[in-house]
Amino acid sequence: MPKTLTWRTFALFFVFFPFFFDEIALYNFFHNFSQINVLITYPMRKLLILCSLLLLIGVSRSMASQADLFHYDAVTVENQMAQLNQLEGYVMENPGITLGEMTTNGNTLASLVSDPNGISGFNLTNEKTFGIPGFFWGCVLGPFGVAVVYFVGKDKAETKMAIIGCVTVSVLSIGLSVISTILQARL
Amino acid sequence: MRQFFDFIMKGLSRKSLLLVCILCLPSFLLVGQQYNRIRADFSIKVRTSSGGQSLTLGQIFYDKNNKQIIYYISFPEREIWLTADTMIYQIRNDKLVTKTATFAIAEFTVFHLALNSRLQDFGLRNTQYTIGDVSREADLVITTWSPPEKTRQTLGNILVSVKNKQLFGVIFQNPQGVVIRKQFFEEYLVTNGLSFPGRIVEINTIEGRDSYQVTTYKNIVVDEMGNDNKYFYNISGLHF
Repeated sequence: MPKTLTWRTFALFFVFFPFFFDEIALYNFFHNFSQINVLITYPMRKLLILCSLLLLIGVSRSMASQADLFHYDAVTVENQMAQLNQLEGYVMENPGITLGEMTTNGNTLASLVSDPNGISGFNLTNEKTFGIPGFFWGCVLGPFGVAVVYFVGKDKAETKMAIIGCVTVSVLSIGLSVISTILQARL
Repeated sequence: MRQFFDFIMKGLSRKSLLLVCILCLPSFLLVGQQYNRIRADFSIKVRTSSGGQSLTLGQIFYDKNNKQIIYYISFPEREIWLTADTMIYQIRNDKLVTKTATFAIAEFTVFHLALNSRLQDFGLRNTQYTIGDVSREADLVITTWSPPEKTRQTLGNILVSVKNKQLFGVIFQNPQGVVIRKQFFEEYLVTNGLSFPGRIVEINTIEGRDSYQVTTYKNIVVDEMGNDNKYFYNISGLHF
């Protein structure tokens, strides 16, 4: 169908089709249109006002939604940080103390820290190669995965994990093939 | 008569030139204000959605000419975390413990952006992100940054809000428009004219579960003249 003949064109054609043959009908249509408010009855007006209000509320809510995104529950954050604030206060009162020393001294606050290296404290520091652990690189892509981790990730520990992954898959596949060969020979 | 006219014109031009200089000097000084170094005491508190917790305390040193962010950590253990180029080095007793690649480079950290007075746009102006929409809602000016067309399958919009001409919040969305990360920059401290957030609250949402990180900075020193050795670490001599 050509672009000019869309469904809107057809709709307009059918609406105005009678007027092509009747000038009086055309006049009446526009005359009534100018006095269309007469046709709007009282209950209909109420409905229109209600719809307008709902539309206005909807528009204002959608406008406020972006600003609402920039909001967080400060109380929740404080509650989540309560134990760590306690620990921080203790460390501030005892400058230079380490977690190892606290653990040795049997300080119960030391047990609050689940990550002794504090590495997770840095968003900067928990990046894997493209966000995937080295083991899976080696597991899925074998020597190629190891190469990716070594050259792209440039991380010895992750490369080691990739090699372990690669070896694990190799050992498993060899083991499975040996078992299947034995089973086939018995059959 | 002509001599008198020339004298008046000369006098006027000199005076007007002087006036222009006097009026423009402060603005030149303000625009040209550049900082090089920042140092602060920091604490990073993390609580993951699974209940894991960590606390890291220490000092951070950054010189934008060296592009090394050096964290001298005092808690949980005394060690150094150093970011240089795209690598992070964990150093303990002058020995390299781990060396990890990272995508977070110094130029996009809060330290570098603050020193270059570019914190307001979160450094996005110098990336491939483009401004999609700018709106003002109450006291916030919100800018929506859209990723390049070819990466919209994997990257979502970033919404940056500014309040009182200071960066207030950054919202990261996934390609479907769901909020995955929120950052709020609060309690700004002004040191030598440099405005720096004293507290950064970060909320990461993964599969509907929130993890929280609160970073605080205090005792901020800008353009410190001494302690040169604290702003640069020679990584060429590092060994495991």
